[in-house]
Amino acid sequence: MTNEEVERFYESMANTIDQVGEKKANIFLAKLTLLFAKNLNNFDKSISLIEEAALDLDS
Amino acid sequence: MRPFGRGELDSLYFKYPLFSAPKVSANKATPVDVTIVGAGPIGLTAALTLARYGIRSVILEAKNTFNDGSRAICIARQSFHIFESIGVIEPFLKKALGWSKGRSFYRGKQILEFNMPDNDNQKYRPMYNLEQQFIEKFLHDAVKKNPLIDMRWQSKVEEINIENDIKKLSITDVNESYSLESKWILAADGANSTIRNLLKLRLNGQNLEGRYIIADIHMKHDYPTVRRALFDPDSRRNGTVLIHKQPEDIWRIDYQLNEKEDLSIATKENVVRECITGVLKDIGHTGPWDLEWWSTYSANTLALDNYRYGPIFFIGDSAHIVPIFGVRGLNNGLADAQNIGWKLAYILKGMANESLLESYSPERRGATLDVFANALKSTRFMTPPTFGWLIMRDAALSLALRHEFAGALANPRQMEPYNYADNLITLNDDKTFTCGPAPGKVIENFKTEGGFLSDRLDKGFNLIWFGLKVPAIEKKLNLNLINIKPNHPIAQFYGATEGSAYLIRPDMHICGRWHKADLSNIISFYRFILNGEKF
Repeated sequence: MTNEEVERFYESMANTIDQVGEKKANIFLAKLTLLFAKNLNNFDKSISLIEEAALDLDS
Repeated sequence: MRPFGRGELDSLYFKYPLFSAPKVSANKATPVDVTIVGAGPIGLTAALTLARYGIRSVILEAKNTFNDGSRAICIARQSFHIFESIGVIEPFLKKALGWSKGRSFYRGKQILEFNMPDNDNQKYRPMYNLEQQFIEKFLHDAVKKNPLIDMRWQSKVEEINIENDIKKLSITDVNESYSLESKWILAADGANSTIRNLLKLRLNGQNLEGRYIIADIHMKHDYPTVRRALFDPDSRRNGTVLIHKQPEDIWRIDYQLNEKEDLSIATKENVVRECITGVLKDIGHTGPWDLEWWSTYSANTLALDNYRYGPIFFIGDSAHIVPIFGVRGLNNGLADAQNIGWKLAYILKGMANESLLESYSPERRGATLDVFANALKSTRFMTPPTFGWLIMRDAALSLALRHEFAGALANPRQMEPYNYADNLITLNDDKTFTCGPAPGKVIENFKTEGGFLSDRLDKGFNLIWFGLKVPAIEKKLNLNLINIKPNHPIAQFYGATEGSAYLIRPDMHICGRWHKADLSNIISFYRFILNGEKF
């Protein structure tokens, strides 16, 4: 993906999260993650991405 | 606002001169070709552009000194070319701080370093920082010396009448009231434009999320001229801070207020000092500092629907208010001034007819809308407007600590000059070209042993002709021919071969290019630009 495509993806995500609403955002994001994992079709990579995304969440 | 005990013009580094109103004189009512309302950077640049072509103007300014409200600091490369064209570049080069780099930080860790395009072929750096007071002073120094410009301070426009093609401004200064007839009027009187209000014209658009405190402080702080953006720093949880270096050891600090902060409290001097102390701690500055000035800011995208109202043209903030993040407020205003300046000069010199003016509003309003589109994106990142944008922004920042691609989302898009493609006086591109700048764009500069390509441009239209054979151009056409041999590196850079040509406007934008040029075609297009003649 080019930088511009990453940006368009980012914008689409932001708009969709707003559409589904704050209450349903979590379930939407979880569904999307499962779909991505299934499409990635690589168990080890999917697990390592879970670990990756869990980093730097402290505020 | 200034700290307690200091007057509005009590600056730590700048001595505001006080200018008196013009003396009583019958000459003040002598009709003029062009009246410019407002002596900010835009009005002064418009007057100097007109004077470059030998056109007289009167500038009316209601105040008695330079601006203390507006605080632009970033001057883009193309604006330096504008300053060069009106003969004022020297003091700017001496005083301003050039830069090309920006760094973004998330909770103290750098997540992005961006470089704006720069190389040896560029005469000027992508960006310069200079306080607006100095910008106005340098321009005003040139205006003072110019016999074609009649600068009238403390002169307020009270009324404007346009009847039966007669345009009259009613003006009051401390000495007298008089009426001034003017063929053309340029409204360069800023965000609260008197002319716009007298004509009951409205800016349309939207107010974006986010309120900022904008402050200038004096400190000895050892950091290069790099634009810093701090996301979610310790001093401002969930907020954004921007830091710019300016000459005279002055630093600009913009910090975002959160929704709960009350503006009347946030603007109190002790609160501002406390917040700045926090920001300075974030950037590791422990030495002494002094507060120069502060104000508030919120992002708006507002513009007039048409920048022309009969004989009146709106230039700068009177026509458009843009968010600060793209640094296009001052820079677009300067381009407005140059754009209308050369066009009006051509008409007043009898070298073009009024059809040329029809391109002003579409070109410059187009530039504003382009800024709006980009500014909306930057603003959404700086101050996310909704839950969706906030959660995505925070995800991007968190990822950016380890992933470069996510940091790129924080790029503030310091913008290029607007492209006039698809406008009235821009030709469709000749698709035979495989490289080089397309019509609508500003020329690509190029450095050779003898200097820069831009140094060879005449103040009028220029025709770059690539070839060993050079056509003869009638002198009365006022078209400056720049011949470049087809084996010269510029030809390669411009995708040109024997007989290729580029037609350049006085503001360095390309009107058209031909890979295998026929001079008579170029001349008819040139005549169309100036006189609207069919070609």
